[in-house]
Amino acid sequence: MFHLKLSHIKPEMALGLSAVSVIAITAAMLCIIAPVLSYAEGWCSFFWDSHYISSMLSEGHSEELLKGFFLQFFACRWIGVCVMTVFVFFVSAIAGVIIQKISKKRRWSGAVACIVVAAALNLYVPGWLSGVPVVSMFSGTNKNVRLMVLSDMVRQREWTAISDYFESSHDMKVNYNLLFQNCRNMALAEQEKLGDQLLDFPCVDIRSIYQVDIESPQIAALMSDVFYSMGHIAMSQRYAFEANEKMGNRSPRLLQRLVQTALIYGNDALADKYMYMLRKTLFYGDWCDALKNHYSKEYIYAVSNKKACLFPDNRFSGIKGLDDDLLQVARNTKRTRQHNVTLQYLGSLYILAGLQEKKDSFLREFYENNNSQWTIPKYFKK
Amino acid sequence: MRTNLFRHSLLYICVASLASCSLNRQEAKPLHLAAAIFPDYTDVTMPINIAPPTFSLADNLMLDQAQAVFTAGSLSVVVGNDGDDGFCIDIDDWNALKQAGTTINVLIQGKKDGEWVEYDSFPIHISSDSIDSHLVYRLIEPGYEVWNEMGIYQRNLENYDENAIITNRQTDGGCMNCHSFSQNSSDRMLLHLRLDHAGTYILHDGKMQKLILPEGSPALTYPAWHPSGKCIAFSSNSTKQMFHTTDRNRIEVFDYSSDIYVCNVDEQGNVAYLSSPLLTSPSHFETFPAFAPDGKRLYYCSADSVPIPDEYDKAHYSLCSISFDAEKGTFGDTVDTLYNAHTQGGSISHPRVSPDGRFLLFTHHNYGNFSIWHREAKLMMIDLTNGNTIDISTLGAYTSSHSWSSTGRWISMTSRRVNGLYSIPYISHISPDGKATKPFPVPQSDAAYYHRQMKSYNLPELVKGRVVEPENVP
Repeated sequence: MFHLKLSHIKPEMALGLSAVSVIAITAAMLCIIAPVLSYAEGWCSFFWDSHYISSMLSEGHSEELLKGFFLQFFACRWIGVCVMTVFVFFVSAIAGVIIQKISKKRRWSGAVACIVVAAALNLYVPGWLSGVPVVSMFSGTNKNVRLMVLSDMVRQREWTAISDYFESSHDMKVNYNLLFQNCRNMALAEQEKLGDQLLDFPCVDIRSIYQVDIESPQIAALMSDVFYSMGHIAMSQRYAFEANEKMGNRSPRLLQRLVQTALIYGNDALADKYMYMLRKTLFYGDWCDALKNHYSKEYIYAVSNKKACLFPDNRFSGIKGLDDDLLQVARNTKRTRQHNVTLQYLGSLYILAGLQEKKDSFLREFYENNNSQWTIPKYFKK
Repeated sequence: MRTNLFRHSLLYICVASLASCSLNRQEAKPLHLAAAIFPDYTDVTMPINIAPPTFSLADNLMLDQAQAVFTAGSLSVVVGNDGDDGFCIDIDDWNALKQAGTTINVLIQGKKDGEWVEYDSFPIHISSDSIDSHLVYRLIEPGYEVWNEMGIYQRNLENYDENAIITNRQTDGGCMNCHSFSQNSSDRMLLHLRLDHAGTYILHDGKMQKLILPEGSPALTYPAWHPSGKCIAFSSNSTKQMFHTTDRNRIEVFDYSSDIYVCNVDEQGNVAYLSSPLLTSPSHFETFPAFAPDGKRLYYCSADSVPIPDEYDKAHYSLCSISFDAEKGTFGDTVDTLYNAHTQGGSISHPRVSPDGRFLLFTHHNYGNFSIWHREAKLMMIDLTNGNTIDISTLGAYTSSHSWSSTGRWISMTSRRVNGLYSIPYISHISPDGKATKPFPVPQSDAAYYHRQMKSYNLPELVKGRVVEPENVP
C-alpha cells in the first residue's frame, strides 16, 4: 500500500497539486454552466473600439464593460471555458503566492489559499456575469436557468436537441410553461413535425405558439426567433429591435437578427451598420463575412430562404390577424423550405384557436388538392 | 476569428505614429477617380464658424497608407489616415485654412503596392455667412413602441462639444419630445414630457416651468412659438402607429383626429386656449402650425378626415394659412391654400417660414403627415412674395424635420439617406434668392461616429447660444 504522509510533501509540490485542482475544478464547473454563460453573452458583448470603451466608462458603465469583456469569450464556449479557467487560475495562484510569502506556516498555506480563492471565484464570477446564482445553474430544476439554456439552444438552432429535451422531460412546471411550449413548438415546426406532434405535449392556446410580450427583452428575443421561424419577418424585426434597444444596443444575438432582417428587406446599408458593430467584436467577424457571401450556407439559410416571406400584399402587421399574414407568407413561399414550416405554424394556430372553418379552408388550399406535395399532418386531420 | 486584433492594433499605432511625424504631399499617379468618402463632404458649402469635417475613404481600394492634403490659398495641411477615425484635421489647422481662402481643396493620396496614387481632388466651399452656434436635437432609437434611453442634447457647431440638456434618466424613464424655441433664441425652450411627469414645460434660465392647462382641455402636441413669445400655437393630435409587413417604410404613424389651438401663456404658466372653427373642424385634420415672423399669419397643414387606419394612404395634407391678431386673440375668417394636395398631389408637413418671411420651407411626401418614415419625403420651398415654388432638389430625398438659422442663410434638417433608418443631421446654405447647396452632415470628431451612433436625430433646431440645463427636473 502506498502511504502518503503530508509532511513529505514539499511546498512546491503542494502548490503544483493545488494548481491542478484549481484548473480541474474550474474547468469542470465552467463546462457545466457554459450554456448559461453562452446565453448571457448573447445580451452583452464587448466592442473593441476605443470610442465605445471610453463612452461606456464616462457614462459609468464600467461594470457592464467588464462583464462584456469576460462574456465575449463565451461566443465560443470552449474558448470561454479556457479563458475563464486561466483567469481563475492566475488570480488564485497570485493569491496563493502572496499568502505563502507572508505566512509563517508556509507548507500548505499557499496551496490552501489558492484553492479557497479559486472556489470563491468559481462561485462568484459566473453568477456576476450572468445574473444567476451559481447554485441555481447547477440545479436541474431552476426554471429560469432551464429557459436560458433552451433559449440559447434556439439561438444555436439545435432543433433536435430541443425536441429530445422535451421527450425526456416529465416536469409539469416545464411542460405547462408557455415559454417552454414556444421553444418546443418552434423546434418541432423547424423540423416540420409540429402538425404531427402538436398535441402530444400540453398546449394551452395560441400562446403556446407565440406571445405578445415586448416589454421583457428576454421574451421579446425569443419571440423574434418564433416570428422569424414562422416567416413573419416584420414582427421578427420589430421584436429584435425593441429588445436590442432595451439592452442598450449591445446584444450580438439581436444585432445578428437585425442584420438578417435588413438583408431580407434588401437594405444592405442598414445591415452594414449593424455589421460595423459586430465586426468590432472578437467572434462575429466571420459570421458577417458569411452574410456578405450570397452563396454561403448561412446566407442561404438566414436570408435567401426568407426573402419570399415578404409577400406582395403589404398591410399593417396583424391588422387582419396573424393567421392571415401567415397565409400570405405560405402562398408566397411555395417550393421553398419555409413553406412547410409556415404551414405547420398556421395549421397549429387554427387548431389552438378553434377556428374550424379557417382550418378547413386551409386544408383545402394547401393539402387537399392535386398539386399538393404535402400529406396532411396527424393533428390537422382531426 | 480575430485573434490578431492586439497585434494589429499595436502595429497600426506604431505605423500611424511614424507616419504622422513626416507627412508631406507626395508625387502621385492620378487614379482619375472621384474619392468616395464617408460622410460625404465633397463639393459642399460650410459656414465660416463650423468645426472641421472628418471623413474616411469609403471605397475598397485597400490602400496601404493614405493621407489627405487640404489646400486653401498658399496654405497646405497634410493629415494622415487614422484608421476607422479617418482623416481628422486639427481644429487650428482648419481655422487657418478657412482664413486662407474661400475654397479648401482636398486631395486624397494613398500608397498602393509601394506606389503613391491620388484621387481627383474635391472642394469644400467656405461661406462667410456664419451659422448659429448650437444645434439642439433629440436622440432616440428609431424604434417602434417601447423605448429605453433618450434625451434632448445640444451640440456646439463650432467644435465637437455635445451635452445633454435633459435626458429621461432624470425623468424616471419617460418619453420627451417636441422641443421648440422662439426665433432661434436659446433663452426659452419648450418641451413635452410623457408618462410619470407628463406635461408641457418651458425651460428658462435653468428652471422648468410646467404649463397649467384648463381642466379637460385637449392635449398639446406640435408647438410653434408666436414671435412675441407670449403665445404658442399647438396642434392636438390623437396619434397611433402601425407596422408594415412588406413595405420598406417600416412604420406608419397617423392621426385619428387633430386640431389647432393657440395658447396664451401668462407669467405663472396658466394657459388660455384660443381657436377658430376653421382650425378645429371635425371634417378635417389640422396640424403642424407655424407662425410667420411678423406673427400675423398662421401656417398649417390640413387634410380631409378620412377613415383611419383603413384609408391612411388617402390622407393628403394641403398647406394652408389663416390670419391671426395676437393682440385681440382673433383669427381671420378665410383660409388661404398655398399648396393644394387634391390638385397638386402628395401631402405636406412641417411648414417653417424663413426669418425674413420670404420663404416657406416644408416637407412633401406621398401621403399622411409623418414624413420621417417616408423614403420619398423631400423638402420644398415656396417664395411667399410671389407664390412660386423654388427648386431645392439639391437637398435630396428621405429628408424630414428642418429648421432655419436666425439669419435665414442656413437650414438644418435630418435625413435617413445613409442607411434608411437612422436619421443624421445635415446643414445646407440658402442664398438670398433661395438657392440651396448640397447638404453636409454635421461634422463629428471622427469619421466613424455615425456608424457607431445607434440613435436617430430628431428635430435639429438651430439656436443662437447654449441652452442652460435645468436645475429642477421634475
